[in-house]
Amino acid sequence: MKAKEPTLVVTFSNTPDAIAMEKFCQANQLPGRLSPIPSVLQAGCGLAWRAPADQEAHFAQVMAEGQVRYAAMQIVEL
Amino acid sequence: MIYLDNAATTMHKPQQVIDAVVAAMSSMGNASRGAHGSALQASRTVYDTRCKLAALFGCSQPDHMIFTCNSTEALNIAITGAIPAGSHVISTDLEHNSVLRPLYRLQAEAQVTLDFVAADRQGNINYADFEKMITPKTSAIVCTHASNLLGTMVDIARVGSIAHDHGLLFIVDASQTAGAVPIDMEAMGVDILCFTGHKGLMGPQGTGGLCVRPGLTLRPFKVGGSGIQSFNPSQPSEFPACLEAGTLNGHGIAGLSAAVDYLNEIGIPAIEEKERRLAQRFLKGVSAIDGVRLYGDFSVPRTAIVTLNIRDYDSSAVSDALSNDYGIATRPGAHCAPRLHRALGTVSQGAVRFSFSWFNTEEEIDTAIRAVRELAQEE
Repeated sequence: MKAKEPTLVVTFSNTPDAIAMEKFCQANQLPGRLSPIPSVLQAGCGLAWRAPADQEAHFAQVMAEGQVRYAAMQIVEL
Repeated sequence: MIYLDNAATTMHKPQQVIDAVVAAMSSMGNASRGAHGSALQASRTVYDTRCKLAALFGCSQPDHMIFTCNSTEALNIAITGAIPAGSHVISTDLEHNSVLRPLYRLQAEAQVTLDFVAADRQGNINYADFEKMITPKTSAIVCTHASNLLGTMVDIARVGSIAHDHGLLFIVDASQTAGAVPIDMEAMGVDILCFTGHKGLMGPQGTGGLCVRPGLTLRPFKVGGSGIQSFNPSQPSEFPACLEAGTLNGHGIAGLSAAVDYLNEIGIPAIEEKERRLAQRFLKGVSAIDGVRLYGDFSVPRTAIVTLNIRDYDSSAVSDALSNDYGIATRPGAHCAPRLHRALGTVSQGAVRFSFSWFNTEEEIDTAIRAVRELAQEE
């Protein structure tokens, strides 16, 4: 296992929102990928979007502009 | 075989539907269950299909497009989930048992009272009857978009307007029209649109769904695995998980997705026009045959169905002869439409339903006309 590092994790209420996020990120060239939700965040959809932690502000801005539906966005040691 | 039983299921599927199902069965994981590649691919396929169907039916939020295994399941979810106990519901004599039996069950178990807009001997309904039947306890109107027995279409925009003028929920059974005629649930005032994937949409059996107007809440018909909120003892309230307990038919949905692509490539109006032209050709051919009795009003909008009997022959005997002697597939009997058969006076004889599809040809129609003529001439 690689060393833990701060990771931006975006969670969702349901799977359609998670898949919509993937499409949104691809369309807007946002980094990251869908992955299993970290157990520590065990509420909501089983999918989460993981991206570099230093992208948090950028994600927040672009997702707000795109009116992306999500449950929470936070930095987690993974 | 000449397949003229497309109101039961469209047997001839586009090749891309078959290919999509086969591909999915060798590669697809479980949608909303996991984040490995095959599970994600399943989630993407389900999501894309949700979006395509929502767009096809004018549902503004794709997550309110709920997958089911057929219209019957969709109608059970809608009827039992949205109609309050003790209320009053208006439906019609045109309905299939997939509407009638859930309503009758609510009548027996939840003190729901029912009234049915009557069909006349030609299978027509009087739209003014809907308004006349509304009482202070009326909660909903549930009706078909087209009769599965006659093809007679209901002006659902008109009924939707009546429903909404009186604050009533409007649930539509689009089993016979989804994929066969254009539907825009928002423009037509439909609150819940129930459909199957294996008829006009030309998808696999075991697929279907309901589109729910955003803002509407339904009590889940079934509860269980959702892939989300695993520690929540109740079914999640979020759409679509609230109404989709259990693993979806991902393989079928992959095929349904390809079917919607096929429909969009051709255009539903073009399909509608061809199917109606085939039905008209058949109608014209059989209407002049002595001994043939046709059912329904052919001056009103209809789907591609022609229903008939030959003299006093039992409909099963006629359909059997068509199948065994001519290789023509039709549907005799009661068609799960008991109220309309009573209205037509065909309870004891049944009727033979010919239903046409995009894949039928004029040559097949002409062969069927000749077969009916020969059967009608036999003694």
